Amino acid sequence: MKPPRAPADYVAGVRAGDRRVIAKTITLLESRRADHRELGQEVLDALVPFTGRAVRVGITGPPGVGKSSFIETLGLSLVSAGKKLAVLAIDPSSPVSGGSILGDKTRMERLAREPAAYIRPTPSGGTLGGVAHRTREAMLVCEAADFDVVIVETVGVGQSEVEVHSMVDLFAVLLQPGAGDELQGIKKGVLELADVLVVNKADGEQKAAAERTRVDHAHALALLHPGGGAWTPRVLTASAHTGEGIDEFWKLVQEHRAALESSGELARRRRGQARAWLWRLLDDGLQAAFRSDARVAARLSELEREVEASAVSAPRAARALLDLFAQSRATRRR
Amino acid sequence: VGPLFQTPDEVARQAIENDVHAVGVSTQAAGHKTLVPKLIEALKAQGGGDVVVVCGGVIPVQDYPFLRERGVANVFGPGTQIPKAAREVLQSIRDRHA
Repeated sequence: MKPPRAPADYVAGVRAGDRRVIAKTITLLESRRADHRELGQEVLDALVPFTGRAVRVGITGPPGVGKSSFIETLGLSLVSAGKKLAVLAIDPSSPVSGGSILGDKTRMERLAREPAAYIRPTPSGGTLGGVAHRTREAMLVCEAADFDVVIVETVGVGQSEVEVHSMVDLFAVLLQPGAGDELQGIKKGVLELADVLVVNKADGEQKAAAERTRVDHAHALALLHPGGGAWTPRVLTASAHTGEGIDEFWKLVQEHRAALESSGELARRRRGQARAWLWRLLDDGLQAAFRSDARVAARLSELEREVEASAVSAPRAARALLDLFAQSRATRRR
Repeated sequence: VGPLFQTPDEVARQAIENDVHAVGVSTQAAGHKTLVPKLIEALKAQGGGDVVVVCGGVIPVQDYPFLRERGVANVFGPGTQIPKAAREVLQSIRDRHA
């Protein structure tokens, strides 16, 4: 059987929840080929009216904290409660080879077998902004396919969590027990973004340490968030291994959603995210147009060198280049 | 990349969910004559008939024709040169999508 080719076929397949078509649609959107992207965008446009109903959860944390195990345990519990779950995992690409291991399926073995779960790793492919666009698009595809929950997983070692925060309703950060020093490791900025902090691996010998870590972070959060907002961030301990704390986490997700919905914050947040996404796309598009402009290109490297050598000031060079860009736009219009 | 132990149906499902071009089966335990045909059937049943299946590992040479007849694109035994195998797999993918 050949895969469908017309946009309407993709739309119908996604709406019907056909795994193969969902996978193909996400591939189209991830593709760097212009014709694939164009077709993908057409499909996405048709799907957008059906999006926005899922609970969007972002999960991040330092490597080795147990994100995949946590998501697996949470996912299995959601699936057994009758929910349909999509997991979009952002996989760091090797900056050297450009390749990704995409190993999440090996780490979420049981969840990967559940018919109600869909796990899709996305290679970060070098550019962070690019990932954010692709993951957001993939999220919309999953929503149009009537998934109840979409989890976006990212490794907490850089800018990617800021990007993920800008596309989810609830942002959770996973920590290790005894992670006092780790506060340095993950940037404070990431903690500021967190709606929920989870101290994972709260089992066996580490249980007491996990509780201490929870208390420490609860104090820290109280300083970061003086309150007054629709939601005050919370800390809890959990164990992906024993399953303890997983249900509590999901209760917090629901509580968070109820608080944001009743205060109007959810709609406000999503409007803001949509607007920010538009601006990201505009910035990218403008920059691409600027860089591919012939008049700009003719002067760009020369001015760059002059700025490097302090022969011309950066503001002056920028002004000159922007004027050139404006001129070539104006001549094209005539 | 998939988990170590999976049924043919599970492999087919994951291949489809990730929209792969090819599935490589590494087999050392003499299960290839039953499991590989089952995998190909499962792929077809789930709408993934265009996914290329290749095999490698410990497979007796006399089984190669059996596997090819059942839709395996390439079989790579011990001593295979990796760049050569890579070229052949890419060629199989191209042929399938031509």
